[in-house]
Amino acid sequence: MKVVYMCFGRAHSSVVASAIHLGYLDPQQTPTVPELTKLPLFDVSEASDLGVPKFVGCDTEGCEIYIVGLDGCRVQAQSAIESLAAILAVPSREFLIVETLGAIGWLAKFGGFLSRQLHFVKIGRPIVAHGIIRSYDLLCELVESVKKELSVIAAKDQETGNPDHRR
Amino acid sequence: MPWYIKTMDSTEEPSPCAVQKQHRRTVPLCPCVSVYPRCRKENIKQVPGLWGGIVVNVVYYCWDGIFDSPMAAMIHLGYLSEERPPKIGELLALPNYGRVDRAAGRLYLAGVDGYKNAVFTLGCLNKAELIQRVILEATRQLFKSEAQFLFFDCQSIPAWRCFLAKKLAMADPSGLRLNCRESIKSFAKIAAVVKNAKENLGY
Repeated sequence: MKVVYMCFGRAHSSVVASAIHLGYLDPQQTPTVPELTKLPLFDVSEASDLGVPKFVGCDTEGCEIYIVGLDGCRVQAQSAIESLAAILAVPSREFLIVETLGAIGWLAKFGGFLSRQLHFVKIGRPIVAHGIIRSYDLLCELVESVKKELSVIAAKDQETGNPDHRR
Repeated sequence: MPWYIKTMDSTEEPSPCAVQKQHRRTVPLCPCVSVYPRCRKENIKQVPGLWGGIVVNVVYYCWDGIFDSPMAAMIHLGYLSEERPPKIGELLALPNYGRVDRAAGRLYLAGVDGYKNAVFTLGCLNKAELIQRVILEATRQLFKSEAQFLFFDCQSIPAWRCFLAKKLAMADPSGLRLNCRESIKSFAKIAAVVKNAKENLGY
């Protein structure tokens, strides 16, 4: 099973969501600004990284976690990935695409714009970190719902006898 | 032995036709066509288990994927002549021309040609480069597949005109006629793209 967290630039919300999913950030405790900025992929992506899925690790259940930035064409790119999976005969239950941009507020988006688009990193990075902290609960809820979805898929696969549901 | 494995005796002189063909393959592409990665018949690897041996996936893309790219795909597959522009009736009779229900970003299979290459149409809006990158990178990194995709830009009708025709056609099917004449006018350009695609595929 593969989980793809997608956002605008693969720099902030998807990175934090994947870190929560993988256990690098505690969902019970809101992180501080240095904790967020210490994440290896936080606020470092470039324009050339857009559209490239980045593997960030495997969770405790063996699911592969990816992050991807899809700029302003997330709907089209999601359609492209889904149709590609059909072409390559990958069952739709083997991957899950999750949009994380909806879980963050305007402050994180504004900080991300300053940092990544205008390259005002010193100003933008703390702003985006504060924005993420404000939206941290929503991100945790999102990750929790993803984990629930994964467990439902796993249970269905076990019922139907699919042996490689954690591929 | 499969056709894509090239065998040539070292003492054998290549025929003038083969030399000409080889030269044609090394000619750089025209600017309207973007091919990634550059495909050569000798570099093509057959991907096992992919639709019973599909060799290359050829993708014709345009702004919305309902006018230019279906026409190019139909020329590629032989449903439309490469020599003469189609008539309006011929265009409207095509199964995938003017399908306003088609979503941008989704790959639609138009058919499989005589060399077992699958032909797709794709609408990219104004993010063609990003959508191509998503498809290529997701194939390799997400789905761990060796499937090969070649992208050919066949956009000839302006985006605003496609948008308008699509919206009109949603209200009334006769709105498609707004673009039929433009498609016929741009036949030469689209046919050239298809010809270039076939040359890149080594036909």
